Amino acid sequence: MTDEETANSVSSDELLARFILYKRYLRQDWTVKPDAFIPHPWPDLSVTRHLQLHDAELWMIGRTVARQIAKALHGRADFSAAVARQHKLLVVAAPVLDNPNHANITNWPPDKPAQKAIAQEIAASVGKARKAPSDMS
Amino acid sequence: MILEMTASALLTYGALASQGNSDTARFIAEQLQSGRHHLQDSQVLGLYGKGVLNDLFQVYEECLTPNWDGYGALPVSETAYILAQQFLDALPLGMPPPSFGAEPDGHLTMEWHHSVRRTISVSVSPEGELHYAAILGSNKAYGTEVFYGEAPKKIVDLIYEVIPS
Repeated sequence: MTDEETANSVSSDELLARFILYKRYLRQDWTVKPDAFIPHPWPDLSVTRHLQLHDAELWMIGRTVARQIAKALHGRADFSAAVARQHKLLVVAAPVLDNPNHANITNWPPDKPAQKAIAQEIAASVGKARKAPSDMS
Repeated sequence: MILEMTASALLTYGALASQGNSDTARFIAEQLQSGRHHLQDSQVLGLYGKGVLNDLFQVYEECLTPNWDGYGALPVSETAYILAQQFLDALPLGMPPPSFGAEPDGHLTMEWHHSVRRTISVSVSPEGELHYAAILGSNKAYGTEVFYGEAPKKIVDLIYEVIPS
């Protein structure tokens, strides 16, 4: 890992959020399908670090993302950075204009079945997704 | 010539590609295919009878435009859709219906899900590959099988491990 990567590294005990903008990523019981965590078309999976944000602030970020691309915000899948680390992925801070807590999960294996296996483990660790407040969907 | 094909034979085997080139081999293959389609329409045995083709088409329609997931997803191609139909067609009769989805790389997915620790997902790529990953308690299985018109035994066996018949 380079010095820059070390500086941008996210600690294992942090919680990460993946905003769900496609309803079929959610099963009827609100568990999350692994499809939501496949990193294509880029090598990175985009997430938001919880850090010190309150729940409402996190939802606000999700709403902003959804509005910018004219999608409905259905929910949020929260998981620990440690789960990504267990599978040799890197979680790297990547702040953007509207989201200083933005991070990328990188270092995915190139082959699709291995990506699916990791995505399944991340999805399993989420348990149930959080439903977006009704004024945001 | 009288050819008798029992439902049990059709239940036991998935779609079988004909290995022969003779008129008889072709006739048998056509009759088998016709019999399978008929049984696939059954509400008890068949996936078509359970409405899976409508569900698959809905997902395909939803994912036809780029960025359908809000994160820059690739559209699902017609080729992937047709291959997904063919894979469904090749599955053994009596198999429980999957739930359908799509992945951001444009693959269609079929999931047989019992719980988060007992689940299998199969991705159908436009190139005719079936990428699968399964969690079975503390065990995992994943890999790729090329789809030649027959449902790969490895995948069928995993589905039955997730959802016992």
